[in-house]
Amino acid sequence: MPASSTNIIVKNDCLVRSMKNPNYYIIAGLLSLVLISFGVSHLVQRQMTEGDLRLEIYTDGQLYRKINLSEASAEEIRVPTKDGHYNVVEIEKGRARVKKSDCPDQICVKTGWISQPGHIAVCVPNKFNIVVKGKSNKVDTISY
Amino acid sequence: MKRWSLVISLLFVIFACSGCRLKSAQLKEFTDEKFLMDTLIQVTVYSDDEQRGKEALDKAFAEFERINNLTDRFPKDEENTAASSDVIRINENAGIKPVQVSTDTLNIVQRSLYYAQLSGGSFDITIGPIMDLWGFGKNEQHVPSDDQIKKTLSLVDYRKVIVDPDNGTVYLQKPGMSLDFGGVAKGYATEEAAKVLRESGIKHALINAGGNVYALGTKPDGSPWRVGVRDPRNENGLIAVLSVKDTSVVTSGDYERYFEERGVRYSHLIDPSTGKQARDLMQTTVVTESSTDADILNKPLFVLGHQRGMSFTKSLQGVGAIFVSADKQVTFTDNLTNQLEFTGNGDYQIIDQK
Amino acid sequence: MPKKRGFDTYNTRRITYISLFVAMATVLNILERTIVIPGASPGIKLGLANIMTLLSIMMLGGRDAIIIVAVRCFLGALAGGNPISFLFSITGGLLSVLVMVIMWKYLNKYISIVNISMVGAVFHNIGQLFVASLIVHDFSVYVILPILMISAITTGYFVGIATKQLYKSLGNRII
Repeated sequence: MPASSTNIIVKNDCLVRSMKNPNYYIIAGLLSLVLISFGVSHLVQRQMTEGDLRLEIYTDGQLYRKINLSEASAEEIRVPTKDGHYNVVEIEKGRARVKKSDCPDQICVKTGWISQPGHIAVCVPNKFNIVVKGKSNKVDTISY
Repeated sequence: MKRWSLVISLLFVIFACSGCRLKSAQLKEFTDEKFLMDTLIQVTVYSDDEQRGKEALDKAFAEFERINNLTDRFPKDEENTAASSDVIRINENAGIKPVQVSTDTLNIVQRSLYYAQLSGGSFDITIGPIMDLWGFGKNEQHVPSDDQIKKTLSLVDYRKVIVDPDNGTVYLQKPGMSLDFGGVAKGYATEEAAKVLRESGIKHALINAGGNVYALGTKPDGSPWRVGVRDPRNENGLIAVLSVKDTSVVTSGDYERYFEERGVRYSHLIDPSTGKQARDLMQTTVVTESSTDADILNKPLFVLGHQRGMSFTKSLQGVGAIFVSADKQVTFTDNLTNQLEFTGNGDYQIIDQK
Repeated sequence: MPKKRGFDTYNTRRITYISLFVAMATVLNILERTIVIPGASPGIKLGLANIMTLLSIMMLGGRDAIIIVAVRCFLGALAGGNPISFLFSITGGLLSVLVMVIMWKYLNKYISIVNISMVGAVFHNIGQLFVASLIVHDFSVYVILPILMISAITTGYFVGIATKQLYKSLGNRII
């Protein structure tokens, strides 16, 4: 038999075998998962970066207050929680942080200043978190 | 295979553990500003090494000094600069003989002539006599008569500039002709300064030479540099923000150098074919990789007006532009859509191409 | 020797093995805290402990594997102090062990250990991210989804290979 047709038979057999092998489906599935995750991430980012730069404070999952960060002047906000605990949020122009908290692990305070849309500081024991949302209008230099 | 995969798995874990410590290579900011070329030059670089950062800054400013000396027609320090200024020597020998010049001057002249030709003379470095007539260089501005303009226009012709690359000479054919590099010197100097920064190993930097911006690399955190475009009628406001990396953003406007006579504003942006101000636009912004090109291109675009300027830009490769007309309408090239954000300030009407 | 599983065969040998696995899994759990994934809030971890999880599925069976996961999360939290990270690790851990147990039981013949491990790691991280999104009541945490998935698949791959080799060197035994 001529060599070329043997090759074709071998190649076809390989393809058929791989189609039947569920391993490849798993790999294909994982790869599409990665692609989908890029899509999801993009969507979420787009939704997050609309509007002026602002800080949203949530207690117990409910929106407590929204503060515009682009025009903000320095201030401190003490946010109480239902069971008598508290978190103190410090605002400056363009950024914010959890300054003080009565929670045991202080992860929220250790997070420090946040200024980019999407960044969060969370205090799980107090069911409290702050999120930065919106577009930052700051420029690095001006062409004139 | 058995040994391999075990080794790889082990290496992976070790690598991953040590990876978290690599974050500590901190980039520090080094910035300086100097008054040169008749304007404020600001350079900011980021480096993890203090010495490298400061040296890079010095080298960048040295470039600005160097180009300044070659291209300044009206040196404040007459003695020193007159000898080294190529442009002064070229102008003094107009109609007399070719003058030998440095490579940089040669580059500047050649690039300028290239765009002069491409734009059909809307940009012309031989505009020196007209600029002098209006008094812009020497700060004795006044409105000349039409007759004076007509006579002086005969000295404006880029085709009468003879460049001999082999001998490195430039010759102005007619006596009385003079070159003015005001429309290209800053851009060229910025480009040279950026080159020097790159050679010094700088990966993140921002140069602002009197509004002539070059963004080198990205910001230290990897995001693009955000360059604001000034509102032509509000010196404290911005009409747009461009997100760029390794790109130059240069803006020209009728608010930069002008004088007013009898209630009419006369800016320094003159149409070489009429010898008078171009009035269709208030401001143009050019976005492209080469700072020299960005600086140069503003002039023909301003003179051509928003319609012909738009077609001209589209005929070029890798160039984006924003046009702000005198009637506050704003148009821009498609290729800038993803990087351009309008602030919505100032009551401008943004015209969508579609 | 008949290979039986379930309550009636909790002999000393079996219990010893389970304890060893729990100990090793706990150590891995604590170790993986030193590796931080960029952008992920504290709590979202790589999933190295899955080596032990997978091994216990293969050698001890589904039921015991789940117990081992639960115990190692608990011990890990004791050693780490953080009730929040416990929430993260148990959600991710249980979700991934359940998925891997099902895959192993029914699809063992068709799908390689490495692939099962990758899928397990993905579910591990998805579980953790889901918890994070619940905590902040916001979808914004899903921004890190791509990098999380890529790191999960990579970790899963290496975990799978390591498990495969370990299983082989332990003599392909079922306890």
